[in-house]
Amino acid sequence: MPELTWVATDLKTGLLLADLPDLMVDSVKASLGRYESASAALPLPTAPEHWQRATLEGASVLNLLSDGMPVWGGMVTEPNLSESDTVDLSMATLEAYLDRRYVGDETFVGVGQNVIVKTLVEKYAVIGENGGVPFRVQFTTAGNGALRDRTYMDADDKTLYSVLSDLMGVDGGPEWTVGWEWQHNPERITPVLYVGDRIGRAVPAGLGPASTFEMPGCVSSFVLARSYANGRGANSVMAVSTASADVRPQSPRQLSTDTTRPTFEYRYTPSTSITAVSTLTDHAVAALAILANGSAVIALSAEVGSAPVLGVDWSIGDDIGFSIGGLEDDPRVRYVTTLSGADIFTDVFHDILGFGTPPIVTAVKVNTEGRDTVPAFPGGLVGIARNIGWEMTLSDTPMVTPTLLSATLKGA
Amino acid sequence: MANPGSVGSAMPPAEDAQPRKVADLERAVRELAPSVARSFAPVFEAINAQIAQMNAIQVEQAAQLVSLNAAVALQVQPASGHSGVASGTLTSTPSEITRCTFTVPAGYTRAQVFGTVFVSVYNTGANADNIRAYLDINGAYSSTPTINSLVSFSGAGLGSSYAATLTGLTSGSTFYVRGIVYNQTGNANQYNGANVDATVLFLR
Repeated sequence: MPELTWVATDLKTGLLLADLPDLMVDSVKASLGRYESASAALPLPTAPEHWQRATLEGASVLNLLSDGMPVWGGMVTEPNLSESDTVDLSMATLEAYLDRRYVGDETFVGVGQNVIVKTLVEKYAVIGENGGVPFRVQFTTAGNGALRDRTYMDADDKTLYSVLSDLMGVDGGPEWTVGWEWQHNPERITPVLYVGDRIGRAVPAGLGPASTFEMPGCVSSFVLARSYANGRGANSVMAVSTASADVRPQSPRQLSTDTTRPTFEYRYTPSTSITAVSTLTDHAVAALAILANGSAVIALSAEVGSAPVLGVDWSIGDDIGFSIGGLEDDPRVRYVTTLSGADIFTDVFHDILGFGTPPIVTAVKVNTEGRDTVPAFPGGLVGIARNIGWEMTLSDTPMVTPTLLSATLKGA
Repeated sequence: MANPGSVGSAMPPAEDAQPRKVADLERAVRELAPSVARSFAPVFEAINAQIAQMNAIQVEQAAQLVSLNAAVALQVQPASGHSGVASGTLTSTPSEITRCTFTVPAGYTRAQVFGTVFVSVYNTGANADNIRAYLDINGAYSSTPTINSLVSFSGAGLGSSYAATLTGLTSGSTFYVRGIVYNQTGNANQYNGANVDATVLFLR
């Protein structure tokens, strides 16, 4: 099992501030293209000398290391001090910092979407009047990405987070997430904003996934959450913009081919001030792809010690294999013994006198079809799906729970 | 703003669903405000353009009103004339004794003219005579002149008036109002005199 440890780093430089061996964190989460929050408690009797600086809100990051490799980080947003001997801390992943910075006047015409993201992050997150956060932008796919036209104005009051979410929400838009890396001389842990046409590895054609979560196996529990609630399922999607005078740009309705459900409409405004209908259509197409069959995700919980290793065997965005349930023999009633070709007389003669035809004893398997180990999935659920986020609970027995998007199920 | 097309949005709701929703709503409201404000810009521009247009029309109308008032004031232009003569000589045939001349102001084409001629004559002869007079307005006059008896070695007065409307006038041209006087014998005397008075209303 990988060793999990905590360190505090400086938000502006990534420089190490303190080791936090006794930091207590229930769980941490990461998702593609959005921030997550977490809470922690730092016992003061064993806290490092500079614990106040190490937990200074808006100035420090608490990084989770797995065998020394940073796998998660959250900036401290709220320390709550009380009469107790612990400090309760609220944290948010670095995507939340992007929601604290605003984009100024920018115009991109025919610029690769990855370059747009890189430019915006480097201009509006890495630097600032009081400095910024040292994001390094890393393209995860070759090239600059699809060419886009985008205009942003300072007066739009749009945060960088909002703009990047908007970009990611279009059909074929750039996916992005924040990871961490060690840097040396001096030693520091700094954030990396990964952006590309895709985050994570797809399964190569003809090959299996690099990681598979199985039940029975490392997976101890799972949840398949489905929803067709408003905003999580629809088969007629329209993206609309804010109006300009008496004209409101809107996309044509994007319809799914599913005829099982009656019409469920969904209209939304992906971003303000979109004037190009084609951009709205791109948004609607992307939304329909996820909403058409309703939101459905599979969360597979596995013990960290036995599961494929996060950051080594799999990462956020990867295609991950899963196998839930299936048929197994019933260990309680596996066989029954049957006799054939016998009757009481031949039995007696054979047993006593030692001649005649003995009865034929046969062991017959009763449950020839086997037993479903997970009744919710008759015959089992096996396939490959995309990991869109994960959670790690950090109890005595750490558990990791990748969340797989069922819309991307393959072979199930 | 909502972005259901982003795969991250498919993450199932967790404990932080409500704070996240509030944050999303706050962000949406913050972004909507300037967007809505800007969406009204064309409306305000149109209204401002209309106000500017109305102001221009108002200025133009004010100028037109001044022009109209001036035009109204110029519809009629009065004029008057007087011409007198003393020691006049009378003739036995109709002859002009004195005249007023008027120049047509710019922009006027018609004139309503009323005039009088008054003659004072002394008969120096031994025989009775009579005196006749009429007013000639630019060639228009009454065909029946006024007449008065003139006793020998005595004086008498005679007046005649006439009115006419002149048309087809051109700016700068002139017309006259004159008195025509004559008697049977014709004479000259220091006491003979005549006055022509005329009032003119120029019309456009």
